[in-house]
Amino acid sequence: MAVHRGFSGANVVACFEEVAGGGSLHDIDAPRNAPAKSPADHLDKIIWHQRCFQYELAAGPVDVPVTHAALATKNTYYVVSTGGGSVGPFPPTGSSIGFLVQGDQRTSDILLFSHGLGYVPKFMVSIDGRRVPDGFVVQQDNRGGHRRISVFATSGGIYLRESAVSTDIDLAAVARTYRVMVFATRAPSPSLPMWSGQGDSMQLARGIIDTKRRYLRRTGPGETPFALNLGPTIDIRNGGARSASGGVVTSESRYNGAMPAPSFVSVGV
Amino acid sequence: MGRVSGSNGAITHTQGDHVVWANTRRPALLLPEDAVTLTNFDIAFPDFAKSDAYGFTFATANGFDYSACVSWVSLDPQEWDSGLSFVCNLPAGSNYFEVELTLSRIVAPSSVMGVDGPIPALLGGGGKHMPDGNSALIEGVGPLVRMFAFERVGNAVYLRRKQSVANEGQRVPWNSGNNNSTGSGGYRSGFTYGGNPSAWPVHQIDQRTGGNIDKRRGGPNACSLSDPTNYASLWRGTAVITPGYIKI
Repeated sequence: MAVHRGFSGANVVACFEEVAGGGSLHDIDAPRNAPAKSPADHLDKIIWHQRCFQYELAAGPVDVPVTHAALATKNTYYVVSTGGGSVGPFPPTGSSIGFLVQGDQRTSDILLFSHGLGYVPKFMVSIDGRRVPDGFVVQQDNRGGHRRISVFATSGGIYLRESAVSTDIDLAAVARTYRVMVFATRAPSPSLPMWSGQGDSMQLARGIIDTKRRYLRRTGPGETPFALNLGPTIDIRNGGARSASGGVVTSESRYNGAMPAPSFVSVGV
Repeated sequence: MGRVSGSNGAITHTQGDHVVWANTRRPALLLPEDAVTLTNFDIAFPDFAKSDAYGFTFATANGFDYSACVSWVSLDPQEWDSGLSFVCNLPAGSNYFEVELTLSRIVAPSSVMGVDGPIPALLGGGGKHMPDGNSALIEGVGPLVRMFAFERVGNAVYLRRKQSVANEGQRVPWNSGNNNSTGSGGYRSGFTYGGNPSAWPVHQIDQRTGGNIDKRRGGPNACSLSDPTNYASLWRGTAVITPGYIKI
């Protein structure tokens, strides 16, 4: 049975399924309350515990439109001729031998969102309702041009690392919309009670939970889901990559592996 | 108005009509107090298996005075999997974990033709990554790519690293017989390879022109085939692995 209990002497509030052994309802040392006392030993019995990370929303969800810039093609000749050698954009003259590399590469960081927290937070970024794997193939063209992205945080913002590659044709600009969620790390406030109502909200665990705030949890009917993947989302084979999220796989043309999409849960705020 | 309500075993926190949290709506549980922080954590990749490509051309039929050569390092098609390296243990009941990585590339691999600088990094150096599924691409361009994945086996977390170079058959029209000699005392321009004929030329080693000395592969004025590259890569930083649980 799920219970919601506070133990003021131990400074613990938790919601959990009791374990066998009985004992006082109010004694955290009672066997029945073991999940509240030692959550790591009873993770499958924990429904909520103040010592868990709460996924409290600090910012978002915010939809950020990004226009990824085009990347022009480029010719680079690595050649030598009987009249001299060269590396550059101009074709050789006379008897020559070498390679022409067609295409260009660009690595850049794109600011998605300034969170202003002053520390490096936890975060999640999704596209089309699926969390973005690091290395996600956000664009491909029919010549092998592609654009890969990963997501990272600093104490100031949430960024995309973009790696764009063009071939013998330009890699076209592309517009995408990313949904960003940033999570706060909150310490208990000693001045607050274990369980209280202030104003029109309710607080638990000395302010760790406040019903006025938003917390990541599984979505309900009518809510916008955000797939949280439960297994590897990236694989490589034959010089190409596959990314998988929310049950959908995206493969580069070279990839010839067989990684399936991992299972996932749908979460939201 | 915020409240907690219980009904038929369901416990719900609400604020007005909004369900803030419920025991039927729990996401991943994470236990920061049992997180493992690993400093100077390394994700390393070895050099690639390599071959070479050699180009020779000339303007006159019988001598080397108007001849030229060029040489490249080439990457063999290959698949490399490190296998699993132990990272840490999780609490016995944990069935989920989250990885936070702050890494910098402290040993950068050599450059690839067409790219300024080393192989592009797909992680933002110095920023915190929280790779979804605990796996990520880390480097890649052209025919090569590298990745890592943290994998759970029972209650232990392991690191796997992989690198791959595409196999698309011969990328260069090699001279017949892999030789610049015609077999009847003459010469011919063209490419020869050392090692794997399906390797990808990626790094120019040497160019030579002029001088009336034989510049064919192995000749007295041949282009160097001494490999100056090292595509090994090393990322180092902090990994925080937080155990958790997801009720499936």
